[in-house]
Amino acid sequence: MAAKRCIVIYCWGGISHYESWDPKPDSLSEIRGEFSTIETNVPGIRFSEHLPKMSRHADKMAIVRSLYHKQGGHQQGMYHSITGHAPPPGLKALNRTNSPSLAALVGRFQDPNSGTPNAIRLPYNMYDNGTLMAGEYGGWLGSEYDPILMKTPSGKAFRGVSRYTSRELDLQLNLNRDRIINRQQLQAQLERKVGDSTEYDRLDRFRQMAADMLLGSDVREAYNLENEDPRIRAMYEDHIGGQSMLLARRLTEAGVPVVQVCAGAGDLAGGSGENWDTHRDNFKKLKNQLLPVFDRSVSALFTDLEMRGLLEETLVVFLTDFGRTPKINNNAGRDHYPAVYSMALAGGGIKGGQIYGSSDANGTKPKDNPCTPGDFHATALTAMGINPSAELKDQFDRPFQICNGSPLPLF
Amino acid sequence: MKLAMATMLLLASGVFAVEEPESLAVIRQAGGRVRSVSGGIEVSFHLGDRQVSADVLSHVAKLPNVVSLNLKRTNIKNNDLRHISQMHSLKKLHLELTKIDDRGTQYLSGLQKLQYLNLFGTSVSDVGLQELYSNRKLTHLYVWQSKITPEGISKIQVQLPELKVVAGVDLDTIQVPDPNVPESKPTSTLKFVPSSNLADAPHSRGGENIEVIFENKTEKAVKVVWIGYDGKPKVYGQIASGASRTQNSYENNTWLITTLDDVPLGYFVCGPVRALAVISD
Repeated sequence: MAAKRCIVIYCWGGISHYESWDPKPDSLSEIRGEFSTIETNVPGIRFSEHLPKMSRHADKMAIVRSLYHKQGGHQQGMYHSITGHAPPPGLKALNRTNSPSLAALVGRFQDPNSGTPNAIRLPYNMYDNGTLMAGEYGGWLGSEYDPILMKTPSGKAFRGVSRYTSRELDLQLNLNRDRIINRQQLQAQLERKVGDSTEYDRLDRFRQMAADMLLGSDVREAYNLENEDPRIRAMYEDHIGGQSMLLARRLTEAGVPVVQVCAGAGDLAGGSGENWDTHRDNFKKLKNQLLPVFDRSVSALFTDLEMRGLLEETLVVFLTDFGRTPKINNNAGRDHYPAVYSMALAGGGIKGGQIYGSSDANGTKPKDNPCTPGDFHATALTAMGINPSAELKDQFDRPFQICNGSPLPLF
Repeated sequence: MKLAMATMLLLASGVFAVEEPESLAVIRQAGGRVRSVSGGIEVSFHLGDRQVSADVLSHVAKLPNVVSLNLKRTNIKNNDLRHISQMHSLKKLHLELTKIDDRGTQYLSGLQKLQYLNLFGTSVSDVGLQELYSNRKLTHLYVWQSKITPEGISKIQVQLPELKVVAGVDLDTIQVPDPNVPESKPTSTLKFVPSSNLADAPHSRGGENIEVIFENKTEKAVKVVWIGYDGKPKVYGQIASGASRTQNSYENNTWLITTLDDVPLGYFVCGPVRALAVISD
């Protein structure tokens, strides 16, 4: 049976394949780096030593080690990985000719009468030095399929720069029902005086949905992390990285078909702050800041989904811009490297405990079974019961094939 | 109208025989969702108002080829499950977070195609588990926060060697941090260099990622300004008199403090560790 829900975990900036799921312990030290490797709970699969908790969940994961594309910039690499399509020139964030993100597309195929948003993103928008990035929106599907950004209401923030626009949902849970209805009435009066415009309609729909969500009990209840057992909250850790994963579980459990989590600070800010763009101090940053939060939060998510019996029906997708360079630079960092990188899937009918494809001995290019972000998307869509060859029409009735890759044999 | 259309669609797809629409109507009336999935029909009540009577379940049992039934968090009772006992096509059954106990599992033992059974958060114990020894196809059983013990799990696994039982974590082993214990005060303090000239503040340089806790001990609100690597000032925020602000920073970064009218008061240069930065007159 196809998966019913999907959680997309995005490592913004480009997680190093060497220091995560494709370590090269037998390479020279200038390539291998400072970290050693550890056994996982699957014989023959080794992870970076700084993923000790996740290594106990390797039996749930299918790691694809032979991905590649040709985009060396964050915007282009992220676009390719998150939409499955190569980026067109001159990308702009809210351009309606862009391809939809995986989350937007999955949301598009869900029951429109479910009464929940199609797709939600947590807890930050992706920015690069103040520029809002293209790729994580509904694109040609139309604004109604833009995944809605919600702020995660608690947890220590990722250090560095994270930005919000004025449109995110920050549900004020202490507002009572009457006050919300009063506000809606007031808003309706004010809005009658404003003329029609496409962008205005979009915002209007957004506000309406915000109100619906406030009043709709299941999603609202799910958003309130205070309702969760404090021991479960502690398992995810009091950090926005962990609490966002917990919120993703709660929202999908409440019927939201897909939730995307940005697993790091929202703005790459020239490689400073806690994001995966580790041009400087790759090892210190990964060891002390990024990997511990990632390791703990993802492991808590796996444990939690599994013991509730939800993992079978919930596809967990790990995406990132690209890999990092084999050679460590003069700032103890690794730079952008799209020639080979790793992403992963878990749950939702995916056969865990497997590695698909491989990179060569030094992690410089695919060795076995090279595959593209399109192939990876085709796999995720298939797991969700969506035919990757399906065609959809955009607002101008032009047909688009939703994916141009072929599903990988991970089932 | 929606219901009629859905019924017609399902009829048109050949899923149901002619007599089924009434059952379908009753199920939908009770907030149930019916959809076609690979291999049959899925019926779920867990996202509705979760009030499911025995009568509603009897209608679910009339639908042909139901392969998945979700009763999570519904108000079903042990005895209601008698209607499920005849649903021989069932492969997945969600009973988690219901009031089902050992008196309910007797109705499940005849479900020979059942592969997935979720008993998380129920009161089923090792006794009720024995009723499942004959479910030869069962491969996934969820028992977290039920009354089932490790002994009960071992016994059913002897009977059903292919069965995976997920017992989950013991929450009492998880330590919850005490919210009343504040984060430790930094042991290091940065030197405040008084200056009314912006040019005195050195350009920031890179280094270790640290935190600075600014405390405004002056009688007026101040602005916190980061001096960029190129020397350009960038305002990060304001601190009211008597207030503090925790700021992400890096070693060798310069933080200029100004009045709200942008008149420099002085600056701090960060060291390699988390530090306190006291702003005083």
